Amino acid sequence: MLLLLSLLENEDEKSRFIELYEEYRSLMYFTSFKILNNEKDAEDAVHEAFLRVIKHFEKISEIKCPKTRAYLVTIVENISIDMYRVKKNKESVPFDEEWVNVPSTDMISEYHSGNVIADAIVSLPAKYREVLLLKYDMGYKDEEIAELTAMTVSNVRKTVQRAKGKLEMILEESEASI
Amino acid sequence: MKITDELLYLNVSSARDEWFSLSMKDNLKYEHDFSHRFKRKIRKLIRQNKDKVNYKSFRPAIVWSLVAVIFLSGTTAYAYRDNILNVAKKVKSELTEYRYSSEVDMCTIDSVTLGYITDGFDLVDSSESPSSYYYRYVNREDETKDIVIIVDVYSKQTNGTMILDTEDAIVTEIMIGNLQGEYIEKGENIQLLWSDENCVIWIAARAMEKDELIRIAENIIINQKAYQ
Repeated sequence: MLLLLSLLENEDEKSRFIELYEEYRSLMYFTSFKILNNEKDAEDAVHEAFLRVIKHFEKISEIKCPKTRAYLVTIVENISIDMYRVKKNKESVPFDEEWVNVPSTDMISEYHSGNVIADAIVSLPAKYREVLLLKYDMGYKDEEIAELTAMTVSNVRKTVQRAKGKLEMILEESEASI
Repeated sequence: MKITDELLYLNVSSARDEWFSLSMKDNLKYEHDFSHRFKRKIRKLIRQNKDKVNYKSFRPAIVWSLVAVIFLSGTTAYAYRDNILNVAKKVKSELTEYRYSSEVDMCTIDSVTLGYITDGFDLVDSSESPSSYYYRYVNREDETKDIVIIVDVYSKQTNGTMILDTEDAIVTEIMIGNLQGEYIEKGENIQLLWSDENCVIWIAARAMEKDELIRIAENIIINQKAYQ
């Protein structure tokens, strides 16, 4: 019924945040809902994502662009997977959250990116891909990634190293299969 | 192949676009109607975090002057003075923005009294602070029917904006007691928006008669205190 009712003292901040919120809230919701399969939980995840994003709002230079879109989806996916992990013992049909939103190898090969490294990144488990996108695409420091993903800084660094190792392994396997 | 930082910086944006195309595109097809609970939390979030934004990196701010609105965005706009509050209204195809500003240094709400609420509705959620009051009532026989009432106060310290979903809605001017307001009807959803001195009051309900909503509105008593 109500699109949004907001109050901000600063008009720049208000306009930009509302634009961001309007643009991506539904995309974020459905990203989360596919993981959590619960409307209330998905809304909670979207709220938590905005809560984290607003703390690093200055990093968002452009609202309507693929980078910002991927950033918001990455954050809400990360939160949703964490929420799912907490809840999964109660679920009757658990799934492997590591492979959430990871396309199949057939889909990746049909995409014809022509970029083996990009293909390898796409095939990484969600948590690895999320950290790589935040660090190398969005330019966040390890400390900021730790805040955004509720990880420790050392865990972020370990994840980056493991992601690199996993990428090397994927690329070696794909070379061997050619 | 050794994966270096340089390789990742060079290739990760391609990976991002590929990943989005393959895994996320379907999620763009849908619109979700968020709950009142969620919207209230977002509103609270914006308020609580207003000081945490670094303005230096902002793009040039959207120009809100009426001239800019008319000539650049192609939307319609007008401004009027309503009681103490200055109101700039900007009508877009999907929504309407009401931008409020006040010349009062500070204003607080001491109390809000809801003199009349439709029979059969129970208060399920509320919050009260000197700058904002919120109430939500739900019909005890049909949970899809609810009434939401929000009272916000504005001053020099708290200028702000309300955005209402007015896409394909019927918007008419209306009197609430002796105060001018707007009645917005969109399918089963009806809303009233008006201002009373330094306060802006918004009421929304689902599947309710217009006269009933006006009756609720006319029985709201706001005790507010302004400081110059």
